Amino acid sequence: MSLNKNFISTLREYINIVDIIKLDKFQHNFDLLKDRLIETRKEVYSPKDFYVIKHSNGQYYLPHCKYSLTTFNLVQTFQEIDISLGRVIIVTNDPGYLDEFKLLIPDRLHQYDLPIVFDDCMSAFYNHHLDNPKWNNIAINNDKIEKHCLTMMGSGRVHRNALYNHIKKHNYFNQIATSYRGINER
Amino acid sequence: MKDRIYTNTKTQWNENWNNYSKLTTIPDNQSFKDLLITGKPNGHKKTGTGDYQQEFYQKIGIDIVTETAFAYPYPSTTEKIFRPIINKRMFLVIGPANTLKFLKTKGFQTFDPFINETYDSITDPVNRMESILAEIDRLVTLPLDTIRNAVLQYTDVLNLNFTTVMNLEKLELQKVKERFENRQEGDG
Repeated sequence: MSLNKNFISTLREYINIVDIIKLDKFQHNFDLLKDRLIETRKEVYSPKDFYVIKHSNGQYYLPHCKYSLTTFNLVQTFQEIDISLGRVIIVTNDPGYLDEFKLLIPDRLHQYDLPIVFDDCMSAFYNHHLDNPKWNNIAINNDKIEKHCLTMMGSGRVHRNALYNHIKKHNYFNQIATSYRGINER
Repeated sequence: MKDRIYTNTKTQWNENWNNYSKLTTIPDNQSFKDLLITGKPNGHKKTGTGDYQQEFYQKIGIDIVTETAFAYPYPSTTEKIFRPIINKRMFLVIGPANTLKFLKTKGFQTFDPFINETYDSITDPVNRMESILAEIDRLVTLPLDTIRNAVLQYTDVLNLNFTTVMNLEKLELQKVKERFENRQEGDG
């Protein structure tokens, strides 16, 4: 998912966007992010200059660790090339994500070096599901219900395997309309 | 150069939560798609407007939404949760703990007590999954008319959720603006 254009244009009303970075593209090689930042780095940043980082999903947490590997690597990368994370706006669908940076950046630097995190903007990510004229305000039509439940599962995930196995084991297919694309992928 | 830490692509989703559990069995090597799920073949692959026809959604009572992440320290939502909301159907979420709690902060309402939503506050992923599966076991044994009546009973909630989702972007963008404007006042 990208950031939607309305969100970007709202940001542009208040800031100059130095670069828009999709973090998932760099998740497995932060040297590529480092190269990208070196390319776009400015000698002097104005107060309105910000990098916008789109962070939507796919983080990994070591056991008992409160920050993800992605966050750790991101902070490391910005520190390596000496760009303050205070020049960064992160848009994420993980509420509370700022706390990870507070753990990785020393307290004395929080005033200037913490990123701005928008962590509860469900609508910031581009999709066709919001405010689309094709969606009608339909009637409830409960008399049309033919099955108890529905589950449409895309890519393979452990929790989807668990659900699919449960449906299959108990033969709930008559009650739960089920689709699972990801079976071939795992 | 300072060290960075990586994991491989298969484990980036924190899917090690039940490595030793019975739940990890990988299903048969075949795709599955219920005949009731209409639209294009494998229509659920895309998130385009045409892929989740409202006519189709009207045939079900409860959407079991399997979010992208499950064993996560934060609630996490994607576009998947919007499907039942737009289509005015009840839902339960197989996702991180406190996802329903987060949705309530955005103005959405959920379906307790008809759906037992205690799973939402269970932080242990195995226990949360077992709680969800137990609730599914209960729901599917109810007579279909009970599901139909429950959907009718929750008409106000379903309509409110629809209105909330349609206004969501406008409200969230307003909050973004307010945050910048407060920041600028603070800077001044």
